[in-house]
Amino acid sequence: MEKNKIVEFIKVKLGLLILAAAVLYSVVSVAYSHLTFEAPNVTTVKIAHWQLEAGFRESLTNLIDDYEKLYKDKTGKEIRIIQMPISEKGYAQFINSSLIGGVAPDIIEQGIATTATDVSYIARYFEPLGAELDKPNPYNAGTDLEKIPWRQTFFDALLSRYQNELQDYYTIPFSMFTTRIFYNKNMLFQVSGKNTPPKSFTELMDTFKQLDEYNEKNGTRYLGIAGSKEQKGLFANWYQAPFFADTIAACDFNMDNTCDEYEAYIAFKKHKWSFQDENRRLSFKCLMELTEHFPVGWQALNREDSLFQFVQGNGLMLASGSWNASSITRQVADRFELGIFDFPMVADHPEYGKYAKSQTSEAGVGGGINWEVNSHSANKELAIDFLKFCTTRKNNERFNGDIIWLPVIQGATSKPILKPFTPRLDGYPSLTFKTLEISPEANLLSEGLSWSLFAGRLSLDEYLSKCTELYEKNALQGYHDKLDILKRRLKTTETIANADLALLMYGDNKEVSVKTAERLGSAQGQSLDISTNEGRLREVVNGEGSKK
Amino acid sequence: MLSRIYLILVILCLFVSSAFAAEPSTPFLQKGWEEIKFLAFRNATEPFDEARKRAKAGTPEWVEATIGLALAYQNRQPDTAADKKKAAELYDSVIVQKEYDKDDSFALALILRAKLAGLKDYFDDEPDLERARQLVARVVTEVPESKYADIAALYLAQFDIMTMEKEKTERGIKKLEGWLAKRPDNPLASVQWELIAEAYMYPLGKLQKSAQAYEKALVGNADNERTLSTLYWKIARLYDQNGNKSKAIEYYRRLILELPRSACGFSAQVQLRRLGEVPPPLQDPFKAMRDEKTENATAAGDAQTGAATSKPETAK
Amino acid sequence: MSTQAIGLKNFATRGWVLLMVVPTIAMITIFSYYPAIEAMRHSFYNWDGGTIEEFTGLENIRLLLGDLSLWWPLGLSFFCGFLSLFLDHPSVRRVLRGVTVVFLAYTAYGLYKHAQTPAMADKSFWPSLQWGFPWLLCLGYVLGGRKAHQANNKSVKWYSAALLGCYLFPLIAEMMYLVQVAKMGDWLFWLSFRLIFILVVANVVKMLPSVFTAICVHRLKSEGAQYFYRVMFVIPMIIPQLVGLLIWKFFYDPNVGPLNKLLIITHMDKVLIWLDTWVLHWGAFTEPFKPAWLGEPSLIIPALIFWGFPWVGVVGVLIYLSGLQNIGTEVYEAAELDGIGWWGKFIYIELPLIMTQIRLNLILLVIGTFQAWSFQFLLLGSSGGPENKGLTPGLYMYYKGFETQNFGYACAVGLVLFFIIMALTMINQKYVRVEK
Repeated sequence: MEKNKIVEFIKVKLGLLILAAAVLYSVVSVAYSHLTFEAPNVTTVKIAHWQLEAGFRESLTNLIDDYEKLYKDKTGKEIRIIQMPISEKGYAQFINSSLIGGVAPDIIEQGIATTATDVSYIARYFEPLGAELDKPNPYNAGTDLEKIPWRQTFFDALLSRYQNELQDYYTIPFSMFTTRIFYNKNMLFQVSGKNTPPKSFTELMDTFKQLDEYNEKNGTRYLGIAGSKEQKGLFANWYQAPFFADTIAACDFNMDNTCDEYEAYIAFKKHKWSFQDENRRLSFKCLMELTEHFPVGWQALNREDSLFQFVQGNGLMLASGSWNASSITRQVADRFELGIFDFPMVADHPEYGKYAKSQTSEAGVGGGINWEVNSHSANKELAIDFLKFCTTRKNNERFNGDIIWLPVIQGATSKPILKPFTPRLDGYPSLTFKTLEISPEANLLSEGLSWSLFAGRLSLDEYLSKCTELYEKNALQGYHDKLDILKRRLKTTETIANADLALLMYGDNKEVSVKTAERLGSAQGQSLDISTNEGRLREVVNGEGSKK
Repeated sequence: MLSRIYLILVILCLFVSSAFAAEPSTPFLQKGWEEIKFLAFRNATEPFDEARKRAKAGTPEWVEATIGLALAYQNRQPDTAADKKKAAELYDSVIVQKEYDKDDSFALALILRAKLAGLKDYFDDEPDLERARQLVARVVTEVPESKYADIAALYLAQFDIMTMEKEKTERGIKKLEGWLAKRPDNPLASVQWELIAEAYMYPLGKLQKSAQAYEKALVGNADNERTLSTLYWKIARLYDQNGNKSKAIEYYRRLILELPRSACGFSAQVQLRRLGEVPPPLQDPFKAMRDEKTENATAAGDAQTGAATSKPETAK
Repeated sequence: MSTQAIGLKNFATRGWVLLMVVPTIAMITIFSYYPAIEAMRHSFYNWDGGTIEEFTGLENIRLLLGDLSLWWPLGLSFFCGFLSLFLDHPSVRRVLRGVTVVFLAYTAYGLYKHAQTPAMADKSFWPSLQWGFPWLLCLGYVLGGRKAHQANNKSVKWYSAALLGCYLFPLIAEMMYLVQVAKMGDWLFWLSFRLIFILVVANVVKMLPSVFTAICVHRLKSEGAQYFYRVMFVIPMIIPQLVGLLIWKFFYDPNVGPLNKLLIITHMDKVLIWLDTWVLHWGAFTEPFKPAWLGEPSLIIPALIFWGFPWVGVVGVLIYLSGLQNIGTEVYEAAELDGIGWWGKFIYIELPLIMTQIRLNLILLVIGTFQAWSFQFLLLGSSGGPENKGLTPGLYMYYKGFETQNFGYACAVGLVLFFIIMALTMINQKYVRVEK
């Protein structure tokens, strides 16, 4: 009888029981993790990132272990640093929701999530590090960096990490990245009998010719370049962009040594360039000479496909970044000998050299793997201290040595294989000459056209005249739309400036500081940019009548 | 019996409500500014609104709360016309209130009100630059001793230059140069000089004057390598285009020698060669990295110098 | 234990049971409804996906659809068309006649106003024509529709003539008008439907193999064999879609893929090259035979259609099977007594009985095709590949949102897409009839 009653009870309330059990389980597990990780005598610092590649977590763990030990020896207190590796897909949601919800990790890798990258959120959620960076890093005691401000110990003094709108530093980088060509040493020797990679563009082309001959003779199907969409983009930086150096100089109205979409449009209207220019034709010719050595149908292939082809030993060359060095080295270890070399210059080519004199300079290259410190964290001093610990010469060298990346601290040495990745100084600050990018519509359609061009279904003449048509039709509207976006960006800066102005009166700091002045200057610069662009546009379309 | 309970209840209610009414506005103000510090304008609306209700009109607390509330309405997202209108009304009320007792808060309200008028704040907003100019002009003339005066002087010129009309731009530059003559060391001096330089360059097209103004802006940027790089390049280009060869060469050289991490070094070399000069070599901030372990390079990597020693085995 | 309804009377004692639903409702609200509502809200904002948003009213919709005043005649004529379904009611006739008079007056006013503006000359005839449209349609419905209803009982000839005149012509006119109006808006958005319509037609055809497979499995005599096939169809469900995608990508690979190898082994390459040289003129099949199926502008749509051959959808087959299992053996026995063959059984017994499932699949298919973007994105990139042939509304939405940071506009695209899909679903519900 009793038993029946129990069975009956379970039958009726089964759903409720399951619910209760689930709630109980979650309460217990939350309490358990609180007790273990947030025990009263242990301080916990959490560090979130999306670097799931092999080696990264281990390298970071090594640093963490050392730091925990050092901290205990120094203060007698326990500290636990927990890595929170999150997949790239879920990173944005995790960071956004935890920052807004106020439960974010103490150290966060910058990127992917809007809240970690957008200026207005950075001001809201992250700690400005400028003041700390002006002091020497205590962990450098006893070395030659002892008295140097922390910021100056970085290879670029963190110049590229300066947040212009906020006029402060918010991130600490761990590594540095550049792009070069990887090649199959064995195949090169087999094909050309040479041990050294090509030094000039002509030599590069000769090598491909030898490869073709070799393929024909032996019935092999080796590829010159294990190409794909992404590979085209990488090669375009070196073999298409340099052709525009002179055009950019001619269109640089505000003399900042770069040319943006607005300047390009004004220059177009002033007939300073056109799509039919010789340098543009040659730039396509040059790039297409290379894509001829890509696999058939490369436009439908992507990054993984080309990497796969290369490590399988089917391709002679592959352009990639230093971030890939370790994984490629590992994957090809028992297949062939790997070499890395710098993109051969076009400058000495009889035809191309007339326009393409140099590439983009890497003198201003910045750091990667950037960490931000959560300003709402209770342990932000500890977090900053940990970052200081990690960026001593020795520790940074060790961290990057483990994963075969380039270190960012002055004097830190890297693995010999990375030597070709050393940034190049020659070159222009920027070679991006954006034309059709001014209008999303034109850009979308031109991408479709460029596909046909590279597939050989459209001649260069047809392509360029279609581009002219697209540009003439869409650029003006695009100019207006882009200006609107600029205006909305300006609003963010103005908002920060407004808060600064009011806080001068009602905040803690009552004087106009250098930082406030710089922030106001930044807003001023942006707003002047907009009116200058509007003014220039009025000048060139005067008489034609503006659309908006 | 019932009426007595009623009476007690009424007294109790009065007591409770008076206790609430007596609560000062200060904690609300503090909370509001705390939110503003983190740019959480929407969260700041409520505390400022509370504080404003509690404060007596005209008191410093009331002024503070009003400005805070207006600031929240002005900047909170999403941008709507109604919010901006409310903000404008609130600023106006402060400006009227402080008409006879002009202080920093008066200046602040004027500047923020001017920005509301002069910038595009919401969809379909038509900026009224003339109105904005008049508002900041009042700060410069009526409260020149305020700490906001330098900022107002900057905005005054900016609102003129933003029209991109030659006469107005010249008027704005003249006013700002006048202000800088009076207060050459004000904290915003370099920002102000930069504005003058930009305006001389466009729309006025006076390159020599622009270069000179940029040179004056160098002072405040002495330790900002990034800005210096842009400024040196601009000055050199401006002098170059204006035919002042010696000055141009000076700045191209300084760019190469003083700023090794500037990406403009190579371009400066090219320009120097064009001018018939022998450019100094680029300084290499990565020298250590380039030179290190050269002895290992042949074995493992392949620095282009020599990998000839080791022949890779041919693949089978 | 009998079931008991929870009403107001026993709410106090039994009401707590409803608490069980709270977590579900909360989760659905948070994860399904809230994002959808937010997306709808944001289609009226200029929004960069981050902090900056400004209310812009109908601006996004206007950019997308063109001048909104051009759309209201369409809306009105649809309304009239709807009303004319009830023409037998005298009150409806009166209303329709009234509406017609108002339209007439409004058209006259509109034409008069347009004649006054100097822009009339260069603005073509569309602005003036737009006022006439609903009026014309309305008149057609009132006069012709009435006739059609009367003729209904008299003769088929008259009935069809009236139907043609009053419904079909206005409909064609309306479609032409729609095309013209659509051109005034964001034509890239409409362009992106090009592929969708092709794919919808192809997908409908691609449904058939599943139906036939289901019927074959259903007619198997052996229970064991049926069970075996059912299991075989469930197993592929656990393979992630991405794996399928990668396999197909490999299949199409021009250098190492099996498709080209197969074509060469079977000497189909010669046939294709001949066809291309003399008939198609695509220039896609040449010597040496290495067509890039996903890289050639002219091959991209055929490749997308052929994708998934032999098109036996796992879920589809199982759904049809479940429908077929409801058919009792006695129905088949009766049919056999009547001497109905295998084709007759399919047409008269099986097809009508699985119509519910087919309709469900059709709805899901149309919705799925209209929403598709990830597939095209993975294969062809955000610009939709060669000559933008792979551009779909969903991909366009992605491009607008993530590549140009115009999330408000992307939401508006989504909103319009939502209404289009809803309309198609409603049409599907009404006209794909289920007769039990």
